[in-house]
Amino acid sequence: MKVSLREIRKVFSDGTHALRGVSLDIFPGEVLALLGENGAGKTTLMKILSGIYRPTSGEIYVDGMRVKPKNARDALKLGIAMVHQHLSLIPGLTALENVAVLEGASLSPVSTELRRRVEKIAEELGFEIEWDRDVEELPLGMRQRVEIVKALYWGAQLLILDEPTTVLSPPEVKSLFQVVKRLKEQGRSVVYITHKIPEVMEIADRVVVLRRGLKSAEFSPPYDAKRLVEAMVGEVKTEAVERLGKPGERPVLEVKDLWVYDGDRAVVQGVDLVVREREILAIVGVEGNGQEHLVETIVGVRKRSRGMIKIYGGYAYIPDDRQKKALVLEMSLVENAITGKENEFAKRGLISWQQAERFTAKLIEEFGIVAPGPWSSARQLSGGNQQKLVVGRELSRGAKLVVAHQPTRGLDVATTEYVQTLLIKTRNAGVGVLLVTSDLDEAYKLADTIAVMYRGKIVAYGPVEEMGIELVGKKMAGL
Amino acid sequence: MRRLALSLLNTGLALFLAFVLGAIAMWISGYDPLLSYKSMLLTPLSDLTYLFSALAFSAPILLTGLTFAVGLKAGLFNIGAEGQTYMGALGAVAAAYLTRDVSALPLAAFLGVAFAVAWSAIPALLKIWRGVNEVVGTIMMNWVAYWLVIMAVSTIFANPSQPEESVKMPEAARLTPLVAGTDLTLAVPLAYLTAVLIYVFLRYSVWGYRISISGQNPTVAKAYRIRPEQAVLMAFGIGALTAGLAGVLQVVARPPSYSLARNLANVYGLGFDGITAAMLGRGHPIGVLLASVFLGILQEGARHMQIEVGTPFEFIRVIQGLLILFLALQMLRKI
Repeated sequence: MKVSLREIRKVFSDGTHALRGVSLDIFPGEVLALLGENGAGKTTLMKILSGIYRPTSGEIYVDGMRVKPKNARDALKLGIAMVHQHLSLIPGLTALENVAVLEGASLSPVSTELRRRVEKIAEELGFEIEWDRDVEELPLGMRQRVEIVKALYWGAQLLILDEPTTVLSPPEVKSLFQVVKRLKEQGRSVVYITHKIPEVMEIADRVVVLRRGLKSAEFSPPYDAKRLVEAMVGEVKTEAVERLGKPGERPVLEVKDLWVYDGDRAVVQGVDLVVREREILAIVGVEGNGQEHLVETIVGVRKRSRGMIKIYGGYAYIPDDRQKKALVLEMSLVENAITGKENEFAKRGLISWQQAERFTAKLIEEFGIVAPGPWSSARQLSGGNQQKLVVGRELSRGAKLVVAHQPTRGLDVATTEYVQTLLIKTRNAGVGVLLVTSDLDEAYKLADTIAVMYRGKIVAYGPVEEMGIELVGKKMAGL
Repeated sequence: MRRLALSLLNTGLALFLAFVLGAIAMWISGYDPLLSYKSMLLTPLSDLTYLFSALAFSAPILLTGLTFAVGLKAGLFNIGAEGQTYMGALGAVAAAYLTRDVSALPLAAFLGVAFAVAWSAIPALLKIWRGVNEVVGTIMMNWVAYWLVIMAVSTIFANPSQPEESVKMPEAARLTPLVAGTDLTLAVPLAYLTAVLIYVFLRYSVWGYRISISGQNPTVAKAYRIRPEQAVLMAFGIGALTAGLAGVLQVVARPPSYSLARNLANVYGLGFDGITAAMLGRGHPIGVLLASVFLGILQEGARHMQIEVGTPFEFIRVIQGLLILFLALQMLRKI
């Protein structure tokens, strides 16, 4: 079965441009890896193919026939099934009932015919599954296998695995790779969504890289890890928005020998860094190498296990996820505009909402926020305007340090440009910026200093002039 | 504005459905629903004495409703008002036991509120330190309070001349009716004033703002140095203040007995009526005020319904239960 996607676009209701026109072919008997950062659009694209989302525009063809799957069941009838990152079995039902449930509700026990066929499919793949236990009691790895068998039982010819190894232990990962190979031998296609480069290199027949909603590159073996990383995080076309003057001497942030644990895993391992006045320090790296923990520890959301953090002159914080970490979407712009500085608008403990409204109106004007009015809810703004509100609020804090975590993720080109310019202007005014990004373009455009983070450690650190793209790419891939 | 209209419509719909199903239940049981509703809803408004009695019913419901409403703001499902009301009443009874002059009144207020706050501190701290769900914590404390207060009223605080109730407030320390011959005491304006103060606190104070942010999105709060634990503590504390006050007022300002019944009849169920009021009032203090007046009218009306039409009092419980069900369905859908 050959599947073709043509010029797929998807704009979410919050204004995020998840896909900006992606075309893709998937051939029978191939393992296609879909590589990209979080938010690059990989999962969205596959959810469109498997009927969960409707595309804003674009076409899907199966064996040359135009199809429009309306839901996951529709897609399954076409032979397309998706195994989700957060598995989607129904707790309270046994593994076998979870396979049978697609047949529709029934009070009679699962037929022996179905059981026989399910067991046969599992056997062909080398699975041992306890079919009569509640899926909730099964380990995650086994649940994933149940999902795979379920998909095959209902005739899937194209199987989409979304970040399948996040829930697996190393030996389970190995046997998953075996399964993928066997599926391929059976003539089925597998789309493997991931951001982990070693996995791609091991099992993919072909790699398509997505970046910011576009197909940025396509590779076939033998793969070059460094080039995969580059395609994922962006090529470097350095055109500097002028940074004026050299970084100052006085530090605004000092971090010494910082260790952070997540459970018993050391996710930040002895990080040292200094941000000075009039300096942008960019921490680059493939996502999930401890950047999030580092940032959240610096701003005090997480607890450090060991080490020292010193902030001089206050900080502003632009989190990576504006909808979850920066704004209360149900509240008005005015209420969101004063978060963290509510005291400045209060007299004897009572907030003057008039004063807060004036401040919000000023933000709206100064940062060009498109909003129905200061009292409309933050949810009504598009993603870009929400981010402008966050950036405006934070930059107007007058802090000596700005911590900006993926400040332009999911933004359109113009807003990205705007936010980046603001950061540089802030820096030129003497503020230190800690920029954490996985977009190399952005890092080279903004940074005075670049640090590379890999597996919880800073593995390279130096002025941007000395940190060539060759070196940075290598270090990001852990080479 | 549209949101307000929509929520009024939703509330209206829930009320309508509850009354329709309530009518069906009456009809099946052989009572006349129309006559019943007429005396339930109209008789209380036909006479000042009845109306004042309805308002007297509304005061404690409003105060416990505020407990739940403030909790909702902080993202809590604080159903501890029931037990905290018992504790408030116990404090008042203790004051009556300790002093026999006018000083029993301030002492009652102080002890009652202090008992209630201490009572709410346990589930609050369990939640903050150990992550114990507040529903579990408050239910547990409600039952502990229930048996503890019954024990206290049946033993040390028992009234030797009237064994079914506690010692009475000394006469000098009672808040007697403002209009002779009615139930309208200072408790009513005091409760309404409290609602206004809570509204101002939530809408205008820095802490009210922090409670809202923490309640809606604790991650945002943490990122900007607002500590959600403090908001939880404060919401529990303020809630205990109003619930405790409800308990105190049921003893010091409730003619004719000015005491706590041994079976807790004059405080029992107030916390849960408060939840109905808070849900009916959509968690807004002024909304809770209006809702509690409505529930007060129902409560007063039920007596007349029983006398005039012979429909049992319990039917208003049926209607209230249905009302909670429909309101909860709407809330669940939103989540």
